[in-house]
Amino acid sequence: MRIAILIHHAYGIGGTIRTTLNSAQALSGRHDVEVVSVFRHRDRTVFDPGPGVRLRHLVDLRPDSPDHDHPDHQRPSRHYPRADGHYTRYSALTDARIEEYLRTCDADVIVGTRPGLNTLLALRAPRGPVLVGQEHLTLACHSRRLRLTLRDAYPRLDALTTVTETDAADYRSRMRLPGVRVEAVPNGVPEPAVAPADPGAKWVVAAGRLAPAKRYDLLLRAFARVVAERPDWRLRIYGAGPQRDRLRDCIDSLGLYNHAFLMGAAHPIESEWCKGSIAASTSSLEAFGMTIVEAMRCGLPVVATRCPHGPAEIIKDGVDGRLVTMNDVGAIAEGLLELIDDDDLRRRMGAAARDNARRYDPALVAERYTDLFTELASRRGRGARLGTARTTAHRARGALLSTAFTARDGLRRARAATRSKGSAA
Amino acid sequence: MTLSLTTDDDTGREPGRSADPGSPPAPHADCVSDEAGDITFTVAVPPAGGRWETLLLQRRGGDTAADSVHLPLTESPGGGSLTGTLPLALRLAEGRWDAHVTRGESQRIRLRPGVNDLRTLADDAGRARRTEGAVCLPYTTKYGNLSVRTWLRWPHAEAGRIHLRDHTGTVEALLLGAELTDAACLEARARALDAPALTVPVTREGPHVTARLDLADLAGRQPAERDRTEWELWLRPDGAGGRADAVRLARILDDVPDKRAVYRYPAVRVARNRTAAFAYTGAGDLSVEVHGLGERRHG
Repeated sequence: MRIAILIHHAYGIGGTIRTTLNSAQALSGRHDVEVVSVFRHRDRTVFDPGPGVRLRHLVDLRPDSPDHDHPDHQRPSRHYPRADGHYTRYSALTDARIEEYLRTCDADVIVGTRPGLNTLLALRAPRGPVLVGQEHLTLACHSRRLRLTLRDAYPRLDALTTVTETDAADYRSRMRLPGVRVEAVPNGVPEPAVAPADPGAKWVVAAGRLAPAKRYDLLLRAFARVVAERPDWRLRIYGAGPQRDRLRDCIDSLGLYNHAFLMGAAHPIESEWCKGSIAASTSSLEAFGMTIVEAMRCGLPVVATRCPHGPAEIIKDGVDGRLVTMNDVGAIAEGLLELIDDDDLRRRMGAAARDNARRYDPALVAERYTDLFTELASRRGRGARLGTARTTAHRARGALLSTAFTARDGLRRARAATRSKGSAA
Repeated sequence: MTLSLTTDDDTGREPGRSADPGSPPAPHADCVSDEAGDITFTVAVPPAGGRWETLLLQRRGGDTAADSVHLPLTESPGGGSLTGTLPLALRLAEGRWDAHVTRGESQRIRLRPGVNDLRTLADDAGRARRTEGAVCLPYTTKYGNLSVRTWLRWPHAEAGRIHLRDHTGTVEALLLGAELTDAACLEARARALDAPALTVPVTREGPHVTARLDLADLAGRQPAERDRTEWELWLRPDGAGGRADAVRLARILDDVPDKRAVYRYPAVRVARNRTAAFAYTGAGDLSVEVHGLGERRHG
């Protein structure tokens, strides 16, 4: 199969980029894989997808590129949905380049990797290829406006993949997607190139963007309680982000400057996991929980908050890690101390974490994608190029239904407005 | 020996577009530290174009023969990769060494970092076993290349925990390579001021010392017209008038290439318009920085 994966940009360090390039590499063993980065702003990718993956870009934003000052890039996009958070980065130039790419693309399967790109695929891809939208965030975290956009567009996809079962169930129950396969396919995390972590190391390690949703403030407060009992243990938090100064202040005010350290961004992160013996994830929201799987693959048991959506689908509580109550400093501290105080438990859970995280190997994830793509292609007839009549029918029906739902929503809104006016009066 | 070589990457900067599509990818090296602190570099054998012969470390800013070190690369038993070992016993001069692979007399290419396993360097317990104050720490430069940060300090005073209470800063340190006497003391020296060092006694337990600094006293010594004064911290193993050399307090026995960014301490307000804060320098030395507040004239 020829598989094309359309991504906002492939040159950074984020979770979507990481997992997309991992999957692309794994798929390239048996398929012809092209990763299409809408933007390029660096010479090289941080992650190397390997020689089997073709990487191309549509708009080159490096300073000496003619695209950099292209007048069309100053004009707003007319195709990219406004409700997607990246709308302002798209332009008339990206419209034209994406349109041209889709027109000339000869892939059997085209995969989108964020709501705006999935929408473009659904609404603007020519007939022929199987269209798959990937949801790397969750339906629940999208704005109402974006949900309405997706409701119009997604019925025209052949499949929508989410990274958790919970989110797949959400899409099935909250959005009418007739004829669209909705399936959970987790992110792939490769086997680390370093030896498993040593359970004897007295380091707790966390990694992720220093963003409010990661709740590193809670982790620091919990760690202050840990240090009160076990001053021989220390904490490292890897990552960069807007919360850095705030977390610095938090460390200072808790008097944790001998015990908790902001390490900055690190790549590859497995080199840092392997120095710890416990990992911590205290987010209030994790669409998946890539760092949890990464830590487990290095043999670290993870103490994670039971937040929506990923952690509870990754960690088997009490077996290969600990799930603790969200937003609860005491529960996080208790979870950490339970593992800190019990060397044998740490060792056992670390070994179980390593075994259980093997299910996220990119080879297995790629197999699930291959099965899905193959099935979708054959559903059209004997090959991806055939059966366009049926596809058209499926998409037309989807479009009609989604319009009907939009109309119904409008009606509901109107009714609700009437009701609230009535009660106010 | 020093080779006269051409390279597109002498400064550690990101190579230009030429390194991008088409040309073969830059070689990566995986670095693994052992219990002793020696570093093994592993480089994949390139699929075409012959194997690399040596690993070249070149000290940034140095141009003498001693600033270029070639380490032989040998094929690993399984084949497919080449390994070279950097032993601490080489006692490389302190600084930043850029890593390359070379072939023949004229070919060399800057190495990029692969996957490192430096867990033995992060392990505090290993610090006392370290051989005579030599440390080699592979790290990724700002431009994504592989370099090695080295320290060479003997005797050495490894700074440890710092406790702040009111106006007192208590600093712990471990002295290696010198003997402590009852007269041992800590000195705070301000290079920029024509003033005597501030000396405080230390308490000692084996090779470990603890010193209490009155930060208000330190800050009070800064003339009113100055915005900032850096006070370097030195340990005098046999007292202020002793014969032993003073030893700079520094942090070198871990896996952190830039101590400044990671080991940070809050500024203590010691007077209405003064703060004092412990801080590491780029070289890994520990100082106290006194800052004046609101003393700058406006307009």
